[in-house]
Amino acid sequence: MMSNTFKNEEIERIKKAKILAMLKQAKLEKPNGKPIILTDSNFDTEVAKHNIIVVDFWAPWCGPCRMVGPLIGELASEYVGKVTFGKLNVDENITVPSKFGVRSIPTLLVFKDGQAVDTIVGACPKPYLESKFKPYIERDT
Amino acid sequence: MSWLKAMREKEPPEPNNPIGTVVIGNLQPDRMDTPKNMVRKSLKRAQFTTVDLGPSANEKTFATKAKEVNADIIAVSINLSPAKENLPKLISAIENEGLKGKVTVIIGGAAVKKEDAEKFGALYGKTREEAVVLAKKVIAEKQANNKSPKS
Repeated sequence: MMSNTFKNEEIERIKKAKILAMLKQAKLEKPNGKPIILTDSNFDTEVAKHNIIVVDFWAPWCGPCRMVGPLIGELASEYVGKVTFGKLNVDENITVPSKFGVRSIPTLLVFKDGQAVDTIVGACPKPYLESKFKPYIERDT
Repeated sequence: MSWLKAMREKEPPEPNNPIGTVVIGNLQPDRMDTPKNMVRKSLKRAQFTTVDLGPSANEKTFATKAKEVNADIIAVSINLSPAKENLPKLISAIENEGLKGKVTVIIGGAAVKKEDAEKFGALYGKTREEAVVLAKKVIAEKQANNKSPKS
């Protein structure tokens, strides 16, 4: 009898711990309206995790990238919960850019369900960037 | 830093015996003319007369200039996605000027791929060296067609 009570308490304790861990994880993954930092090692998992993700291939020394960077920040907060934005530094990560044939920066790739569906090359205005991923949000709704 | 070297490259002299005429420019709204200038200088060095339309030239400028100078080739630099979207307009402008079959279009630049060129019946050059090889090939084919007896 005593051991049964102990077992139940132990199961409850494990349950609570698991629920707390899950809640913590969910809170961590809640979109915060900021672009996520992508690397060669987390790229595949992050792209697979998000329905629509726009990845900005950039480098700190690149002038046009500095024009696109703030736009990505604005779009990330405007489309929070609908589109995820990621930034990948091509100086620090070589594998992913070469895998997707990125020949110049800034280059933006639009991924839908893990597949690259569109490419934007160069510093383009905000409405142009929006026109490349908006159709995929509309298709989803 | 080949691009830096290219920017400092001296302007080649005008060709003594030009083998062909190339109208070259960046398609609107692309303003990145360093790669275009690299190709232009290589073509000039390979004895082509080059007519530079500069950055962000519209499709009509390409077509009218090509007609005006009786160009053999139109070389288009496309380094920006919105410029790539103007490619169909350029092809139509060339057709409207009656230059279809008379002028060969060569495209290149970061925003385009070989498939884009194939879609519009144009040639694709990835590097300045490739652009020169393609341009020479176009002229050689043109000369061979002119020499061959008409049936």
